[in-house]
Amino acid sequence: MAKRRLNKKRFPKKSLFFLLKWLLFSCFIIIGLFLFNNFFGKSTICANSITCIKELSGAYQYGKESVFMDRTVNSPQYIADSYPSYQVLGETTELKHIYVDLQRQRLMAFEGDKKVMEFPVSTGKWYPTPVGEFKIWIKLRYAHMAGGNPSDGTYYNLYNVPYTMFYSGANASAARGFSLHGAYWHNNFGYPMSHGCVNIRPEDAKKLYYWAGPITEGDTTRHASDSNPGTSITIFGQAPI
Amino acid sequence: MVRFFNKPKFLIPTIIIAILAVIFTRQLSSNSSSLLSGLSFAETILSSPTPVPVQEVTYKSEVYSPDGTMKVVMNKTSKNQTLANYTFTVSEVSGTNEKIIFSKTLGENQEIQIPENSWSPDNKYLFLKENDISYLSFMVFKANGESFADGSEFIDVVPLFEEKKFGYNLSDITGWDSNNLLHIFTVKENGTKGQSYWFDVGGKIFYILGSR
Repeated sequence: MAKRRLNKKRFPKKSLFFLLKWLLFSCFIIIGLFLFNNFFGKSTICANSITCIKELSGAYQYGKESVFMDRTVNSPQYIADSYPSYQVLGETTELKHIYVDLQRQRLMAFEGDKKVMEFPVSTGKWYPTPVGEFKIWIKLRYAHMAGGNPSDGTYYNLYNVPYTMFYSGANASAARGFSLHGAYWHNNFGYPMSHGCVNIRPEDAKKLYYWAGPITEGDTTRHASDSNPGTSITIFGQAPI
Repeated sequence: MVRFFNKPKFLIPTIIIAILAVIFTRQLSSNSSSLLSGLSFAETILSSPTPVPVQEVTYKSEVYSPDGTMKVVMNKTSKNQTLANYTFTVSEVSGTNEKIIFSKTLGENQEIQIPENSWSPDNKYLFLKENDISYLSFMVFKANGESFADGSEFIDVVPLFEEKKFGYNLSDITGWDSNNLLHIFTVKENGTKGQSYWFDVGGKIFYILGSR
């Protein structure tokens, strides 16, 4: 009897097996969660918006408090103002093209060979703005953008981002959520300040929004189509460090 | 030789040749394409000196707020390029509700500018840059023209930064990262890039930034 008790103490086989089983199970759970986050999480990640693909109404959202770099910021009243009473630039038969120079942090808009707009912008600081050829695939009067990381102070959750022009191309699919848009939360244009998108002064963004294709009337959200194509964008250069 | 110049028939052509030579020399030295400018120069040196009138030159520049509703206007009036008077006004874009926020007279080699990102995103503050060869100043104003809580007309960021003795020299303020945070660039003593900072206008506090 004493010998049997001694053996049990020396070889607690059942307990050990039970423990191993739980360890293995926990590992599976952890790996599963990691893979789920990687595959399904990534499909909804946007460089500047985790919600940009889900919410395409373009509607203004009232009573929402925004956060940028750990600081609360409210969208100013002028952002809520609707369609301007004037047409910024007349229609043209010339081909429209937008160029973004990352080195100089400037955006230029052309109609054929004629430059019709140029102003400072802020491109990727915490995440690089991809270079290459793109086209605007949708324009939203307002968008909700969120992302970044609270642990390093880069978290942002911005409502009513005005004059948003999402673009896509070979170097950035539509699902990545890169866009040209107005930025009401800072005024440091000419220097990198974004999580990958191209930040524009709201007043400049308004002009660009109503100039660029797909042509928009009023505040209606517009998808690009064959009959109403999105304006081409070329992004080039290297942003200053 | 004296006899040669005493003869009027030789003297007149000589004077004409001398004038033409002056004009030709002037043309060569100034690389000017205009014969007229050479002639006027000749007239100037041949005529008696007259008092030069004080020339007043006015220069104007303005920067709009990011929302396009407000503007700050600089009027610079300089006299004979030695002294310049600067006056800064803030108003709505239409020009209504105009207020003078700052005025100063500076000597040559000194200037005040309105930086491109002068306005805070909420239009409550704006900053100006004053500099000469050895002096740099960034002045933050309330856009409504009011003084700060301590009664000062503006906040001069550079002396506040120097007081902290961070070990860097403030080289530039690029703009506003949020409604009350100015973005500061610095350089090390050897001139290379230094640490970047935020300056909180409300609390007059500096924050070190992780990235430039």
